Amino acid sequence: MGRQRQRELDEEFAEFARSAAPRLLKAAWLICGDAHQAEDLVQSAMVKVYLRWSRLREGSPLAYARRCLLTTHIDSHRRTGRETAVADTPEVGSWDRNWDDTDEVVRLLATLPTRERQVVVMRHYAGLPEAHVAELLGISVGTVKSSASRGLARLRQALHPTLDAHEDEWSAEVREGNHV
Amino acid sequence: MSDTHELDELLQRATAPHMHFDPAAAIATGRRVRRRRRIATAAGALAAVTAVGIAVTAAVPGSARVLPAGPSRSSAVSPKPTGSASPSATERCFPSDNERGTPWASGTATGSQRGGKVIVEASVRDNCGNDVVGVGGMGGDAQVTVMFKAAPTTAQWVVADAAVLFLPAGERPCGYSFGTELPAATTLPQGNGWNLVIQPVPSDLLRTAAETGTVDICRDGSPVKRGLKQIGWDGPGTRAAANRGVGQDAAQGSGTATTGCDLDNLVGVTLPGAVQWVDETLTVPRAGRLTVDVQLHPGCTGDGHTSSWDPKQGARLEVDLPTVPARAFWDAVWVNDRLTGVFFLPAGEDLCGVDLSPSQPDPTPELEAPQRFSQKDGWTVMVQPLPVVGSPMTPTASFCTGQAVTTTRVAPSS
Repeated sequence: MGRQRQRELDEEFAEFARSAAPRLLKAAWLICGDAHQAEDLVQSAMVKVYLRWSRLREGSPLAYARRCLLTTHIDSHRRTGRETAVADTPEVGSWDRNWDDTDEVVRLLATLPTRERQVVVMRHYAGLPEAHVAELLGISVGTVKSSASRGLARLRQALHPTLDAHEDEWSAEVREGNHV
Repeated sequence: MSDTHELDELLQRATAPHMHFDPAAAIATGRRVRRRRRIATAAGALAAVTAVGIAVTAAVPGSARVLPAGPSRSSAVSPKPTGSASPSATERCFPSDNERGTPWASGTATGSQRGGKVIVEASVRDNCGNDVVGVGGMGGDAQVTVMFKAAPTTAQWVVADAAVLFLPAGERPCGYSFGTELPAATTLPQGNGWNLVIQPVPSDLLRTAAETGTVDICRDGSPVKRGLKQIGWDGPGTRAAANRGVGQDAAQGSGTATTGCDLDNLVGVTLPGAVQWVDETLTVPRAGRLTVDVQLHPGCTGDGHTSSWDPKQGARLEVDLPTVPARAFWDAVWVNDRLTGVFFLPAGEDLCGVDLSPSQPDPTPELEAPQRFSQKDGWTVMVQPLPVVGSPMTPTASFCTGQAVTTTRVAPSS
């Protein structure tokens, strides 16, 4: 491959990376709860995207980046045993919460099990359909549904402890758009 | 608005801390990984250039007279990495990332040391600081890769599994320094007007041929070049230097893979004697495939490197070292769901235990049976699945001889 061609590919990748990075970073932060780890996750995912850029550029580099991010997060979690950093894990149902309290949501999100957290972030931050999330995580759509449902139920219970427990519209909706 | 949509909105609105991403750093790292893979590919299984007998039949017709051997460039070195049998095949440059090279010559002939074919591919790579030769194994075949820094203008040759010669039209070999009775050679005309000659070399002559071999080149029955040395002979990375470098300075190593080489600094550089020290692929039970790839780059300094890429293709532990270490070391990789320790043990040493939780009074767990691979230099590579513990851990290992513990609390290299 000529130098000029490689330079063009590199510039193309850099442009993609610059545009995708902000939302990937935020998704990574929502998933892992730690800014430094999020940076590492995105960096690692982007390296993998770069290695396949000539093949991915015509396809779905963003989807591949998301997959790498999630896989790397799981690998890193296994390797280090590091749990999500949560400064102050709130006691569930201990105070009245306001849906506007975004920081609170983020902290609560961090208390979910890893898989549920990944599913919730991919569904409700990235806005991906269930089938897409299932493909990204290598799990069945049913598992995505159940993980999302459980995760959202936990969040809802923590945020609205007085709400009826079987109000179950949380996982019923699928939103498109807002892609990471 | 539903709760679901509210959650969506909250997540969108949540203010993340300032985070930074540098595309240039991702590109630089990606290039480095590519280089590493390319080097590994070019290196191949040099260890296969060893004794596998082939029939000695006819020599090059009318030639193959014995020439005075060149000055001895070899030196006995111990310990010697597995892949050093053919030093000429270990000289590689670290090409920059932006070229794959222009194909220049190629061909296939029977007569590999492995029993199969010798497959030769030669290319011209503008950014190489030196000519590069690599030998890899593919089943019973040998893949010889030659990367010229510029298109040759005169005859070139190298012994790598077989003698491989690149000759201008009308020229032919008319005498080798390492033997008179050689198997029949195969001459393969190339589109560029050159001839590729693949000359099988009997296994008992191979080392001598690789280390000191020269060839006479004739045209119309008359010598045009006597004692032609092999590719890389007198370059910055001479084979003599390669032989001297490997193992001689073992004591300089810290005994860990962290005293390795930063490949980022090696673009366009030829280091003498970069060799494959360990190249093993195995299956970790109930986990998947693991490749252990250790290369030695005498003379270079910097950090070692460990990585595991693309779980679908199996995990990969890559380590770069300046030389054979002086002490046992190890690292751990995830092979899918299984944490796996890879222990590098010098002759006479063994793994005594793995301490997964130093705070526990009896932290050494029962370990599954390991897989072991013996290196020709006496080292053993031991692949040991490790138990997963629920809490954060910094595992350490202890090594011992039959009599005593030699080293305790050795942390993973990365």
